[in-house]
Order: sequence, then C-alpha cells, then structure tokens
Amino acid sequence: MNSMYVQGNSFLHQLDPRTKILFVFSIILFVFLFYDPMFQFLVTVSLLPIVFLSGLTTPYLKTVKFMFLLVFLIITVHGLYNPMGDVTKVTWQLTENLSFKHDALIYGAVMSFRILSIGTATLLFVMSTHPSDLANALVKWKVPHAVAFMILSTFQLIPIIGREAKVIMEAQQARCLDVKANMIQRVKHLIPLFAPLFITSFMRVHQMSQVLECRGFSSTGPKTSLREMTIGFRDYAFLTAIALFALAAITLRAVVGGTLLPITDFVLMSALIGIWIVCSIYFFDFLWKSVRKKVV
Amino acid sequence: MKNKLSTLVVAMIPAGIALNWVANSIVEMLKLPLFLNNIGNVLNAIVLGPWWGVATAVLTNLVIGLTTRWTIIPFALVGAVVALLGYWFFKKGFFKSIPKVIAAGAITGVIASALGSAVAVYVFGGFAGAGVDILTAGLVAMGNSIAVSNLIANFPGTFLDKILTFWVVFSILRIFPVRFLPNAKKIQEGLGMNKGKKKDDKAA
Repeated sequence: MNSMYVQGNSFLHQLDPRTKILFVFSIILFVFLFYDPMFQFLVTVSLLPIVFLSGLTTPYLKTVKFMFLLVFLIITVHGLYNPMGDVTKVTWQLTENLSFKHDALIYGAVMSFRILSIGTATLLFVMSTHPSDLANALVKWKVPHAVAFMILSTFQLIPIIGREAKVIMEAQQARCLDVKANMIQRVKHLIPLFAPLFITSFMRVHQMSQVLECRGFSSTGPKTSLREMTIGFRDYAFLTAIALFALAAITLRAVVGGTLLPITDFVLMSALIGIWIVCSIYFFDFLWKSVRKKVV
Repeated sequence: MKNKLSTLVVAMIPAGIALNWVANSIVEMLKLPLFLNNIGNVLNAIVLGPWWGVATAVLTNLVIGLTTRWTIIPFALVGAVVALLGYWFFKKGFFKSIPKVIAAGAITGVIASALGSAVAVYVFGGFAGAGVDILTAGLVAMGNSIAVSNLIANFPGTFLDKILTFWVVFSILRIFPVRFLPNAKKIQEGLGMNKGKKKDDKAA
C-alpha cells in the first residue's frame, strides 16, 4: 500500500513533520472550541489556499470524496430527523411532516464542517509528509524507536502480504476451490485461504526478527537515519502563527462564548445546499466516469 | 530471551496490521458481506499477549487512518476491546471447541457492535462514512432514533463478523506448525490440544 504522500517541494513539504502534527492538533482545537457553523466553515475554507499552494489540489479532490458522502448524510439526516433543541423552530418546510429544523440543522452543519476541516488538515499532513520523516519525527518526540519502526514497516509489508494473498487465492483456485459456491461453502473456504497466509506471514515474521537482530535493532544507544529533518526558521514562523491564532481563538471563546455570530436561517440553508451541490458534482462526475468506462 | 521476544513482537505487529488489511481483500474476493478486520488483533492478542493485541488494533487504525480514511481512527477503541476480549476468552478456555468459540464470538460481537455504535454516535453523529450509513439513514427516516438505527444497521454484520473472526483464528491456530509459534505449549493448552496426546500416552 502506498501512503498518500505526494512528492513536492512546497512550503508545506519543507516543514518539519512535528510542526505539521502541531498544526493538525491546533485545527482540531479550533473546531472544537466553537459551536458555530460559520466559524467551522471559515476554518475549512482557509485551509483550501494551503492545499492549492502545496500543489495537492488534484489528489486532495480525489480523496475528499468519501468525506462528502458522510457530510451529506450527516447534515441531511440530522436536519430532518434529529429531535434535539426546539423542534418547532423550522428552517425549511419540505412537506407537511418533513422539515429541516433550526437547532438540528445547526448541529448537522457544525458536525459536517468539523469533519471537513479536520479531514482537510489531516490530508494536508499526510500528503506532504514522507512516512520515513513521520517515523523520524516520532522518534525525536521520544516515541520508542520500535513503535516508529512498526508503523514504517507496515507500509512495506501490506503490499507484500497482499500479493501473497493473491498468489494463495490463485493457487487454491487451481486446486478447485470454488469461489462461486453457496454462502456456507464460501465461509468454509476462509480456512484454506487464511491458513497458508497466516503461516507464510509467520515465517516472514521469524525471518524478519532474525534480520533485525543481525542488524543490531535491539542494541542500545542513539540511532541514525538516512533522512534528516531539522527545525528551521520556517517552522518557527509557522508555529508562531499557529500560536497567535490559538491565542486569539481562546480569548474569543472566553469573551464571546461558543457562537460568534447569530446563526440565521440563511447561513444554515446555504450550508445545506452548498453541501448538496458539491455532493451532486461528485455524483455526476462518478456517473460520467462509469458511463465513459462502459462506452470505451 | 527478552530481546528475542521484542524483535519478534516488532516484526509481528506489522504482520498483524497487514493481515487485518489483507483480510478485507480476501473476503472481497469470496464476495462475503464481512470485514474480518480484527483478525490480526485477535491473533496477536493470543500469540503475543493482550496488550500487544491492543497495540496492533491502535496501530492498524492509525495506519489506515493516515493512508485512506481518517474517520476510522476513533474506531481503534473497538478493535482494542475485541483484542482484549479475544485474549480473555482464550484465557478462560473458550477456545477449546467450536460451540464455545462461537459463543465467545457472539458475546464479543454484541459488545463490539454496541461500542462501535457508541463511537459513531458520539464522534460522527451516528455515521461512519461506510456503505451501511445509507441503511442507518433509512432507519432514521422510519422514525427510530439515531443511536438505535445505527445499532440495528451495524449489528448483524458486526455480530457475524466477530464470530467468524474467532472461528478462523481458532481453526488456524489448531493446524499451525508448532515451530513458528513463540509460546506454542501455552497456546496448545489454551486450544485444548494437549489432552488428547496425554490420553494417547497413557494408552500406549
């Protein structure tokens, strides 16, 4: 499995992974401080220029798709059916029994933009950070070297074991394992497929632990790495900016409270319809691609 | 000995994570409506010890969260509990016959689906970004509360899934070549495999 890392040389790529981890955490802090859809929306939108400037627009748009399905369901279903708050306050009457309620819609919108902004921040982090750098950063944060190694070696191991699973599948099919049998038979087929897979991966584990031992993995003392990252001027500037924002946000929260501006029906409606529009664009794009696949 | 175990653990946990991941593709190839994505957790919990199973669960969700969809990270809690329960049932001797394994899987399935729904409701307002969400939405539209509909939508899948996870781990550990298991004797005792041999010895 490839990690989602996209090679690049932008500002974000050159930051230290630790700075970026702090950035993701500060975004999580921001969106949980306030209960205001406008604010969450602003956080999400303010992240988009960073996506663009880092040259991650295309991969970002590709991966953000599934989040929009989640967000679409959350805002629609909660707006229609969540019985929280004042149920009589209706924002949009669809039919006699079906209406988008004000309080429930606020909840749906806040949840949706929370998910979108945290998702965007995480994607920015993952797409601009090489897995080795992530492991290095973790080691520098006094995470045990073994844990960092586990995370890193998983990235390599998954495609290997995946390939093995495919080979086993084909070998067993060659020995008359019927993949199209009835349900119970297919459940029973799990054993002939999983047993060789487990055994080969255990063999691999033993080999690997011997190799690790040979290369002095369990030796004590400092370990060096091929890729070195240092915290420079950029990181300090970025961290200062984050700290200033965090300070401003916390003061605002203390002074004004959870909601910044009065939440009008207009804001809620535009959030709902905006999400619907983005979702339908993705949906039509999906339809268009599947139709084209069939034609070509 | 301690060092040897630790490199074994270091090598074993990524394998567990990879098995969790690859199980999905095997199940997909067989076209079964399951996930079996806790198989590595349960295996590691039994073979290495409960806390290594928990570590496998947490790291699995972290790695998948970092590479495909971050919404899976909070569900690490479910994987960790399944790993702990797997170890607990193993310790209590539930991994000795198929009916007992199924019972253990059923109990784990109930707990796991309740926990999964709780996480989904508290963190994501009742959805998890998977295909089942559409069923949840339909159930909500029929007039159920969000927590209940999430539970109903997810229960059958999770329930069967955990039973089959336990069953697969049980069946495979029974036929496993002994030399690859780090603490083979203990595991075979837990699986109730040594009894037969002793009787044979007496008969001989």
